[in-house]
Amino acid sequence: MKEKLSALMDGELDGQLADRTIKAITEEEELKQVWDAYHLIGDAMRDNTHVSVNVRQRVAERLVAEPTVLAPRRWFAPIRSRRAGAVALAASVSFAAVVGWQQLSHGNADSAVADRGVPVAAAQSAQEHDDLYLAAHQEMTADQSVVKVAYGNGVRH
Amino acid sequence: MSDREIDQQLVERAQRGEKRAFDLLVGKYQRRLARLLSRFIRDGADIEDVTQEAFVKAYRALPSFRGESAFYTWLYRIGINTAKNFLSSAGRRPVVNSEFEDEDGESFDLASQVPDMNTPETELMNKEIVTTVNSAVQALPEELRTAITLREMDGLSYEEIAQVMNCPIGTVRSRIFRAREAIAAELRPLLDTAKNKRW
Repeated sequence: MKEKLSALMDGELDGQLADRTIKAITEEEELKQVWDAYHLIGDAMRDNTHVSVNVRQRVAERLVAEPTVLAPRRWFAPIRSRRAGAVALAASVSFAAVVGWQQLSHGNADSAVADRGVPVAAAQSAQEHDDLYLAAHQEMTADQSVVKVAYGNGVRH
Repeated sequence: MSDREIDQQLVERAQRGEKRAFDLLVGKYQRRLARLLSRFIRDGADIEDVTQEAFVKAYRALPSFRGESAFYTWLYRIGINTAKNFLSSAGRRPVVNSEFEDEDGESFDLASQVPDMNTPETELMNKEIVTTVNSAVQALPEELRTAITLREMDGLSYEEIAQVMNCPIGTVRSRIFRAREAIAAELRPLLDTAKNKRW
């Protein structure tokens, strides 16, 4: 586990292995001391000032008196999932655009009525009128395969 | 997992109530924060007090940390504000302002470099740690010394070190780990003594 900790510190551990290692460091005192020692070594090699500073114990004692922080969960996403979120958003917008285009291009009377928020009774009345009209002119209708769906009572015509 | 992602994980754990996760961030950043604050504050004991206070303030402010900047950038900002408040309340002020820019390109107003006024005990401890680490590094077998130096001093990735040393990445990983263990073994008695004194 110490070798994994060493690799983690260097940014060379990924995925679940990294998650498990971080969890272990937060839970095991011995690993926490190793974490501190390795960071101290790096700091001492890079700079020879303030390497003896150690406020960990004093901060920990102060935090005992502090109420435990409980932030609302996941209001910021990891960098990877942010990218996934953007892709999902783009896919949703594209889907909505395609559906909208299909609705407009078909000129569906039902959806036009529904979009305007006409009361159900009025919508059904208008729909019946349309049905009579279409039945009367069925021979002249170009697309016989169109299936109409009523929004009011869910009955397929 | 990048350094920033590791910090973010630790922050998220602390935000869920794990104080031990925040403790790891303190262990990681306390020396770097103290070094930054030493550009404002001369007295070594004051630097430690302000460093401690900055971490406590950061802990209290954790719910507002949104991860839009790196944790250390956010922490440094809190540290600088804490130092300014400290100097203001003590009736002192930074001598000359200068700009400090971190790795994210964010800049901070800072006092110019001021000489530290550490206590003799702090000075001695600093010297002992640095001497011990340097001696331990020099005593390492050459391949371990090269690997740890390329990593810690030059910031090379394992892949880059593997190319330089002409060996597999797994060997680099093992060499760096063994180097750290060897140095830590030399440091341990010193740290145990220090812990009994004041740590």
